[in-house]
Amino acid sequence: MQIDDAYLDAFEDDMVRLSRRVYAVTGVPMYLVPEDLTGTNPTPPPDPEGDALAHEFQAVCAALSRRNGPLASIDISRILEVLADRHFLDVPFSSLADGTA
Amino acid sequence: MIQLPRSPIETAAELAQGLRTGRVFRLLNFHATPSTKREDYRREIAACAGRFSSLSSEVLHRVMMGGAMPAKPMLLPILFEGFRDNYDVILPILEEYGFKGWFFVPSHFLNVPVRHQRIFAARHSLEYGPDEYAGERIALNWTELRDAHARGHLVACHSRNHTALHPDTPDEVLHDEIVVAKEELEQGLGAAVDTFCYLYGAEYGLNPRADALLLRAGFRYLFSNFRLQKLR
Repeated sequence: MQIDDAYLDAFEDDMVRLSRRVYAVTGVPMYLVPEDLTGTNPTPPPDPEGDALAHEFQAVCAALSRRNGPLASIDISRILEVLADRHFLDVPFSSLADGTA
Repeated sequence: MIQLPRSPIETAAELAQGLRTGRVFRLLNFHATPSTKREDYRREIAACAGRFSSLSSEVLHRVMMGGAMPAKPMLLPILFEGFRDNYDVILPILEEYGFKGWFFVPSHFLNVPVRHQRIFAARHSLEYGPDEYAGERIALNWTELRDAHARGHLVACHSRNHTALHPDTPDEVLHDEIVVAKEELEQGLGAAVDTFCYLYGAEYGLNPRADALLLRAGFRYLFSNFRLQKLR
């Protein structure tokens, strides 16, 4: 996928908009990656949908750090929140709460 | 507030590796769920019905042991903090659409006398919206939590006093927030609890003394900001 300035502008706009939600009363979609710290399970192979999501995540991380400076832990959280908001459903998840869907 | 054991760059690279496998959990994180937002919650949960499957503890164990993922992506509605409106408002909606809720409870909040629950919330980062129970309790009670658990919803330990983990958190605080919290939650619930989550979602590796205590206490899973970690 192409990460150009227009894409990144829109992504940053979503990061700002979603960060201004009232988290105390808002349903917030998020991805969680399972990790086996016991090391007993074999590493699973890639799958196409997961690969696309991982690629977008990495591309956004790299582009944002080029634009804004080194990645911070809060950036990871905001990026995953935007991706989850965009990809959980066919419409942005946040549009369901603000009635725009 | 998010503290990581490794650099953000390293963490992002590890997360990308995990995302690439497609073995991800989808969470809906809720805290307080006031009735003023009921229709928002209904639209959100309804939109997820049919698209996602619910995650029982059996399926979680299977997946975390390396077993196959269910055909439909899994959705975990997480109900943080142990607020009473989780039981009154969103639980019926989750049940209407066939989802299991995950109650992440700071165990001591449920034992705080009603008169002191609001100041306890204010002092322990337990944030909520409109106060819909004027003069009454705002926390779940044990009867409600036991009832939700009996109906198939899941319960996890969210520390004892809604406490964040830091590399220098003293041993006595760790003991209270991990070991005593588990005992208190299991006693109130009447069932074993094997899943833990800190305030602000610290992950394994940030504080080795806390890691050792989680293992010694018998926790099997640690929910953090970006990962669900199988500890044992």
